[in-house]
Amino acid sequence: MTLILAAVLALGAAALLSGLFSRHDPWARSAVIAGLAAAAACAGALAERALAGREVPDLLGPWLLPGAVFHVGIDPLSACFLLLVLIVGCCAGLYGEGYIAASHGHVPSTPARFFFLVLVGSMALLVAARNALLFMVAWETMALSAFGLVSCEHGKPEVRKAGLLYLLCTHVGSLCLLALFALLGSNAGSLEFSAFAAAPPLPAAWTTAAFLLALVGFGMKAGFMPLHIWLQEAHPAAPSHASAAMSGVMIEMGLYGLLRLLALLGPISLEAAFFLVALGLVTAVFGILFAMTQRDFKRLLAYSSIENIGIILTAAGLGCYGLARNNSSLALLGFAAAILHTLNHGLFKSLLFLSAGAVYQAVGTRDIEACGGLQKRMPWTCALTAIGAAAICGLPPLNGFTGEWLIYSWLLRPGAGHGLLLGGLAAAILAVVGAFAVVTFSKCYGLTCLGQPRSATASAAREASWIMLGPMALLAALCVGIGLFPGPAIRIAFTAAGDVARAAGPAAAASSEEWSRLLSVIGLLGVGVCALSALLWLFRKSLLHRREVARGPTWGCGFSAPTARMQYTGSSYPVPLTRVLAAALATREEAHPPVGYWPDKAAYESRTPDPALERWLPALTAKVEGWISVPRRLQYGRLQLYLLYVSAFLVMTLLWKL
Amino acid sequence: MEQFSQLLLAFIVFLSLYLLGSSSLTGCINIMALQGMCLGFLPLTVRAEGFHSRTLLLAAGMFILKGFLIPRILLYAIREVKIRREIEPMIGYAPSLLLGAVLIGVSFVLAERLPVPAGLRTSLLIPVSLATVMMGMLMMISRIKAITQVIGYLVFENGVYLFGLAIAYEVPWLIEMGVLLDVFVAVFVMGIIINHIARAFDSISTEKLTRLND
Repeated sequence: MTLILAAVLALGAAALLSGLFSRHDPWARSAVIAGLAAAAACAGALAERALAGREVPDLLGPWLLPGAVFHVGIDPLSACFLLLVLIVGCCAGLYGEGYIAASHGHVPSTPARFFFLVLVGSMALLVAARNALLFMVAWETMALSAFGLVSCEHGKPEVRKAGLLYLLCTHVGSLCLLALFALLGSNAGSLEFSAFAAAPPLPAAWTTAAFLLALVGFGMKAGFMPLHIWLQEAHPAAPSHASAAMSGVMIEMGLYGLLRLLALLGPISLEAAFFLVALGLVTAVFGILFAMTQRDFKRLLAYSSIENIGIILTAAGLGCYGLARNNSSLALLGFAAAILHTLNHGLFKSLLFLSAGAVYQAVGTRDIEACGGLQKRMPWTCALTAIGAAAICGLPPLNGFTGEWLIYSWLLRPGAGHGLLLGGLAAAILAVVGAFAVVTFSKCYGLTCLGQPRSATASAAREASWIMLGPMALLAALCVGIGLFPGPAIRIAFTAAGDVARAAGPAAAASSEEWSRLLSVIGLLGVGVCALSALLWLFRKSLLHRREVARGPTWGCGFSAPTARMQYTGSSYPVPLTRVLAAALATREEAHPPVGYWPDKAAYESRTPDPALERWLPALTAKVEGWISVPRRLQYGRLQLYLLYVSAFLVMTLLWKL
Repeated sequence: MEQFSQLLLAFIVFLSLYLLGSSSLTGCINIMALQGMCLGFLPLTVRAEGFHSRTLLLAAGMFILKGFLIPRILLYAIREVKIRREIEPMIGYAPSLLLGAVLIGVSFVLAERLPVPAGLRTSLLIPVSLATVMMGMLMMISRIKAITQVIGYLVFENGVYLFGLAIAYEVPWLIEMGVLLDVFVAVFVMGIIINHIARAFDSISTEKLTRLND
């Protein structure tokens, strides 16, 4: 268990060293790489031991804070998230070195390195924490280092705004968590997690309060539907390797928190489970709808993170349903699906953010409509993007499919006792989400990588450096590997889910065997499809051998003078869907169509603002401002009056108490 | 000795009341200096069992610091910023005198109820210290000029010192020194701040500081 401490200390030391060597770039770079490597080695060994089922004794240490014990431990659930933190952290950290170099000073290297390492270290500590106070300390460190990363490029006003919004949101979440732990701690008489588990159940009203507090506190970080407002602002603002770590791992820490609480406190009620499923579905539909309409590719990816969080939440809700029904195989399947999809999402989403960063550095903009034709200029980046995009759509030979497959099989399982209608409805909604995801990512990939370059910078784009491509390739390889050989990942997910579902080890192992056998067949089928297309391509090549093939310009379409502006745009590509869903999207359009026979000017502009951020939040803040204007009258800014308040209070307490 | 100490305490309350009713700033500072000197004498009269060299040293320190040094700093400060009078107190002189009287009454009531060691119950020390604290507060609340606020703060501090004298049988050396140093630094800082306020706002009225709210 000292290994986790060694990992966290290595990351912290590397963070300090990278700060100290801010003038010597190569030294700082080697500090970062050495720290990440050391942490990966330590924690990887630890996670391997925990996942193999060997008992790892907890580490307890005294701590100066009252009520706190420095208690770290590891179980399969922790180990699973620890693995994710390390894989994504190492890949993104290594990539970050290339990214910082490629940005030519636009990304301030010292804070980017320092906060990144602190972020990874705090997340590693977070998953191992076994004491509520230690958990909160790690949680806040994580939140604040992420703030440092979001506001890295604080010279830009939109970055400052995003950073502030993120800071506000994360503080609201932390406040809820503090209240939650205070509630649980006062019930258990201790802030140790083991005491929470051993404590008598809370009274009904308090259980609801604790559920809501946990939902808001963890949901704020994870980005459940009305609480997601910071996500799509903060992720584009952060440097790409930081957004990869934030989107791939940090937001999933909210889900880790929920799962950890479930593991400690036991089943929630059936209504609450239904609520979680419904919330997950709403979040997924909302996220993918808004992802579809975005022009900024990092913002698109952020919305897609919301969608995936929704899918994971749905799966977790299904697991809760199984728990509430006392059906341990259903519970196991639901939680395993949630954990597996979390792992997969961490991998492909960070891959996509990393490739978005590579495109951003090459083209200099995040606007999809200024890219295009990058496949010829950045073949490796685009190929890896294609793998990530296919994985996030849940296409079979890749890892995105495995988690979603588990969810579908839960929903469509006959005789699960939940009514096929509801399960079918949820499955239909998930299928629609999957279809929209295909639209979204075919748009994102197609418009950036295929076609003709839409701007001068896009046509001058150059391939990213190997230090950026290497980590991306590793993530892509993991995506493909899990898709083809899902056995190990499924075993990890089921072992971890066994903790939450309170299922015995053998049961978890048995069902993981069952599902991995099935899924590897599907993986092989996927390989078969790929192999078939490869064969067809080879066949075509052999047919074309020694024949003359004319190559026209892409999107030539028989026009005599085609221009790049004739291509699909980011808004026109999903129009068949956005027109249908106009009511939900509330897209604002401003059109000045060409008038007359010789029109001189025409313009069209459309914007899809986030409803939660731009409509609901202002309404809410106006209300809250109304309420707090009453006590505000007490504030005059006059020293004498404040003194009067203080002394009046003192005299009152004296008179009252004596 | 006991009677002398009661007399000194009564005099201290009287001086605080006099401060509340006085409008001249120089006068205020002089009264405060006098109060400080009384405070310096007080430890010598409270302890019946004779003088320690330490008590003497403390008394001398208090006497010099509160009787001479701090008043000199404040006089220097008002000479620098050229003010003589507190012009518009938020509570007039007569009402503040009346309020002061009420506060003395309240402090006697409070002192009656306060759980203090039995020997102190009859002493004037507790009610006088409470009254001095409250009148210091009142002065800080009701006056506008920064310098009168400093004076109010010092009076308040004197009250705290008196309370410490009453409660601690043998006030630890370090705490005493700490209190003295605290006050000294506070006045020093305030003196500097007053100068800065005067320079920045052309006035040492804290009303101008309301501009800084929000």
